[in-house]
Amino acid sequence: MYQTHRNICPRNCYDTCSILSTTRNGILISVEGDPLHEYTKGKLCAKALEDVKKVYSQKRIRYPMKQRGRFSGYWERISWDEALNLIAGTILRLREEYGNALPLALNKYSGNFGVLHNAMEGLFSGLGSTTRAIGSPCWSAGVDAQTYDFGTFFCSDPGDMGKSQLIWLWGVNPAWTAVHQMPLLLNAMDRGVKVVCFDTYFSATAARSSHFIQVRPGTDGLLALGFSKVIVEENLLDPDLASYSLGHEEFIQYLRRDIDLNHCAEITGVPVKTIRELAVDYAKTHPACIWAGFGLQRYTNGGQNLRAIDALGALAGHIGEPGGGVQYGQFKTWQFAGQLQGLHPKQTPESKGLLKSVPQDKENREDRLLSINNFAEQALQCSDPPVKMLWISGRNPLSQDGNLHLWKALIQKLDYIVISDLFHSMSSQAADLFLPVTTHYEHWDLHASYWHYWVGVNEPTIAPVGESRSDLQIAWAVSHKLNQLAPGSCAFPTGGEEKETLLKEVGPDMLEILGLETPEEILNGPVRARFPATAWENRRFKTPSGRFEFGSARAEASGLPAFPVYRPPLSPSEEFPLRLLTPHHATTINSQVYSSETEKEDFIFHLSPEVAERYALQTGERVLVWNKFGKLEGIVQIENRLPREAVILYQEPVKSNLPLNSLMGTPNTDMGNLSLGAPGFALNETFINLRKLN
Amino acid sequence: MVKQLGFILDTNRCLGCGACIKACQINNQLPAPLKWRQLRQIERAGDSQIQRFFLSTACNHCANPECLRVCPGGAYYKRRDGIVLHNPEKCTGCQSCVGSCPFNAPQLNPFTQKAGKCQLCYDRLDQGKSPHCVQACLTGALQLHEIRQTENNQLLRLTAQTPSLRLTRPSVFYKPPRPTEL
Amino acid sequence: MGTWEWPLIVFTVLSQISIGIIVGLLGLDCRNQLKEKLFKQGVVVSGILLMIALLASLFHLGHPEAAYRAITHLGSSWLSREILFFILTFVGWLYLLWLSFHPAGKLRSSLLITSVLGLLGIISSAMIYVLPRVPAWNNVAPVFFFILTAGLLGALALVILGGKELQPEQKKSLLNWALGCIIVSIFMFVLYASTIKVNAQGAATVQFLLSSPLFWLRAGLGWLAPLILLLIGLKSQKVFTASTLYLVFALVGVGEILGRALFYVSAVGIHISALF
Repeated sequence: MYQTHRNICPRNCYDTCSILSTTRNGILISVEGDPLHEYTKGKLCAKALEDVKKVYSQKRIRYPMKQRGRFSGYWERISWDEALNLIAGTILRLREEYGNALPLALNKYSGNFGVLHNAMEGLFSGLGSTTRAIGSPCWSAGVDAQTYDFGTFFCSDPGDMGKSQLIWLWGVNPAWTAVHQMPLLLNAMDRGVKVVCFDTYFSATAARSSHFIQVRPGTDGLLALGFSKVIVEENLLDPDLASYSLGHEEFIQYLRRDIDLNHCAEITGVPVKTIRELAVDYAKTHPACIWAGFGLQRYTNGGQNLRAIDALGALAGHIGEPGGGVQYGQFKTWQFAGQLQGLHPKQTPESKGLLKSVPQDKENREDRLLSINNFAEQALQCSDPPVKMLWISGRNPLSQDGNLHLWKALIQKLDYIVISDLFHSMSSQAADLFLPVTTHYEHWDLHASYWHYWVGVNEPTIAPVGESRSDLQIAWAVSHKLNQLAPGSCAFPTGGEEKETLLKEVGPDMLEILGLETPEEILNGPVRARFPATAWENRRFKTPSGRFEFGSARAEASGLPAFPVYRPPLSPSEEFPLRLLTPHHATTINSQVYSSETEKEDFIFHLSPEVAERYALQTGERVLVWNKFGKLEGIVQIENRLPREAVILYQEPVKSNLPLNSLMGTPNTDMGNLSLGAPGFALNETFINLRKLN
Repeated sequence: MVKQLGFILDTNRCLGCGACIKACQINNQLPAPLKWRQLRQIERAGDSQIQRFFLSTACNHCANPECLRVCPGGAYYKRRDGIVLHNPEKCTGCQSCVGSCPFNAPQLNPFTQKAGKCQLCYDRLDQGKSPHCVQACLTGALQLHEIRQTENNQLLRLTAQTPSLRLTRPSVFYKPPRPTEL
Repeated sequence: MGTWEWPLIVFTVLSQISIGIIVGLLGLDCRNQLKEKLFKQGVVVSGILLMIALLASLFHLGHPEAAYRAITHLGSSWLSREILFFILTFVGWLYLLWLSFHPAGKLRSSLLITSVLGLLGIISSAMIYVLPRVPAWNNVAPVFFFILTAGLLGALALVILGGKELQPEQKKSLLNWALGCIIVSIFMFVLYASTIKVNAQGAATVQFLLSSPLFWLRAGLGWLAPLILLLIGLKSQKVFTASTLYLVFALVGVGEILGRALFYVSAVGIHISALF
């Protein structure tokens, strides 16, 4: 008996694909892309194709378990009732001991971006004022940069790029991380459109582009300012600038006065001649689109980098142009009702966005907000009251955070650590209690993308594997247990229907942008939000001035430069002379692994021939890489067109007890506070030294 | 022979993502590490340009298949549409085909101790569907065509040092890779 | 590089000795009427070797129980032909066995027919390896190597089996024949190595062989040492002692087995994947 269901890939990925899953007698047997979804177009990436194996993987945790001693690996299967008693007992004890719920902390992020997973926030809101991780390790600086420039964070429909006559891919690697955009780019190239890839290394996308421009890490902003300078010099400015922008004259003055192309070429590594040619081409070709990736803003000057690129797009008149723009991402399609996580009705839809989902219902509650990127450090500093219980959900901080020694210290101070996940992870080794969760084939959910405009429902395809439960079911059960033990102790609902809860999240705002009459209509299939395909089409912006702001008073008020100006990234020291770049790999999403076959025996450090020569290294030799945070051993691989001042270590699955983040501190990006409440993680500002091992 | 089906790979569109291989493995229930399709990265770097591309290759359903010639059990036969099929019922596991195919297409299945190779999803083709690999290809790089009627002056064939190897006449063509300008 | 194909090494070497013995018996019979005892001994030993060889060959198959199917593609498969010829050789041998217990007149023609079938079997064995994919094999060398193994080890086996039954000149001609086979083997190898070097895969094979200690062991034990022993023995006109003969046979046997193993291991196949 075959049945087909609609699912949505819930991972932290541009594509957020619509999936058709097939079961036979209740067993999931295949997954394929939904042909009706205009972005997925019936195709899935190689990662999602592994889903069937992943759902039934032997490694999946099927029952609640408690660990006899942290990091001991001695796990004991327990019943859900016992698990819930342990959780509720700890919560009630701590709340009584400290007189409030602040010792209870939630650290949750992007393991599953489904809206119903906000039940975890809802549960914590139901406990009172608690401690929360806020912000994002991913894209904060860029989100703020675009918010300063455009007023809010929005991008064109990805299909709009199909109209472009020139496409610049700037620090983005869709061949690995957004494959569904590739057909569109390849079609454009087949039509003769030039696709220029800017990156620090010759990426898989560079290999499929017409041109590759190698940019020194962290200097993207200066390069954009160099292009802008040429546009000014060549008098190729958008003649209408004055009508829709603010501060362009001052910005142009800055370019004339402070930007020197020879200096720009020296710092960025792009020759003056190339800068001139590219700038003229970009200014003269209409429409021309820039797609800016996340990597270029993971620097201490990350926000400035993107603001400079936005300004370049505006100077040349590409903002608001169909097939143009500076595309980065959006969360305008995330206007869910927020009932589940207990958002206050007065909150603006914008602030209910994807990442600022921590409710600030100030009338009743004030949560203690810790930056997700400095969580351990800040949690250790909390003394009144200290953080005593931590719930980790949809996260693997012991693999993905920086300053891991602070995490070790925090773990020692915590009374109780709960983790809910599908598989064991580096973080679960520290947990006292493991709660098995369902995959997206086993629960209802609701999803939007941070790239395309499609919103859709994820239906359960099969019964939960083992005793796994969805985050929503877990939150209900915890609330139920709390209220059973101490009536009135948790305001979160104690039960319900997943589907009903889901439909409630499709509130009036969502119905309007999707053009639906009733929430139930979304059950019929994915829906594209009814935004015009081109962002800022009418050039009316959401900034305080209503214009594109070259000069932003809001930025200035936050202690940032009002204008996009060049701020250098951190420099290497003599002790640690090489930068470490850790780009995403095609086979993983952060620490989520899709196939055991791709697991590497060793870390592989990719070196340019120049770096290899400096250290007298050959491909295949073992090296020790270290800095003040930690050290890793691995194998050298020499490749053409890698940066001359950096080592690349992809986020690939490796058989190692140490995560690659052992080498990471927690440098912060310049921006992130405005939209996300905390600065981002300047991952690319990591410096190392290396030596050959014999 | 009425027809000759064959793969055409546009090297400019292949991302090397491996979805073709996985779709084949999963849908043909191939136990790891068995693969009926392989991926190879090729790079030619110069001062002003780089060519980096991927070759995704399976059985090439040769017009003159070496596997068919050497198999002592007659386990191979060629259909009228050009598909070279391996019949496991006749296979003795002697590995003659494994050793003789210049494309490494037939492989010994360690579980059945018989050879196995890409059968071009003939059952799907008979139902009017595409092979799993072609179906899975995100960019449309991998396609299946009746190659005798395909304009192939724009296409590359595989080359081999030994002329006698070309005699198998692999039914596969490649769109030549464009370089990335530096 | 190839792999250690033990079933195939045992099969090819033993079957070649077995057929070498039959051919040797024919050769001796052509000069002087064979002694009955020698004939019987030769046939029995040859048959035992052939049976072990055929048994070993089954271990190469993933499905030995389905071996009978491997004879169904005589039209183009040398493996099918090989199996057919070996079955026919075995039938010929059965008749020889019958003859050795019931002496009758048709001995020489029976030996001739069995020898021809056996040699065709050996040639078919070799032709299996004449593959365009493997340049090191894609020439006449496998045929020569296989026949030389038969000639060399067959003659030496007969010298030992014959013992006192053999007349000195019979023994001498067999040893001369073995010496000739060794010299031709060495010559063939040099010729082989220099011809296959022209392409990358052949060169890899030669490179592998010349840098492998096993190859030099094979050359020393299987070619050089027996060559010297035979030259000295044949020149001094003295009768070889039985122990020297055993030593020569053992050295050559080890040499040929190593040589055959290297034949499989050193094979480098072309993988066509280049577009340019």
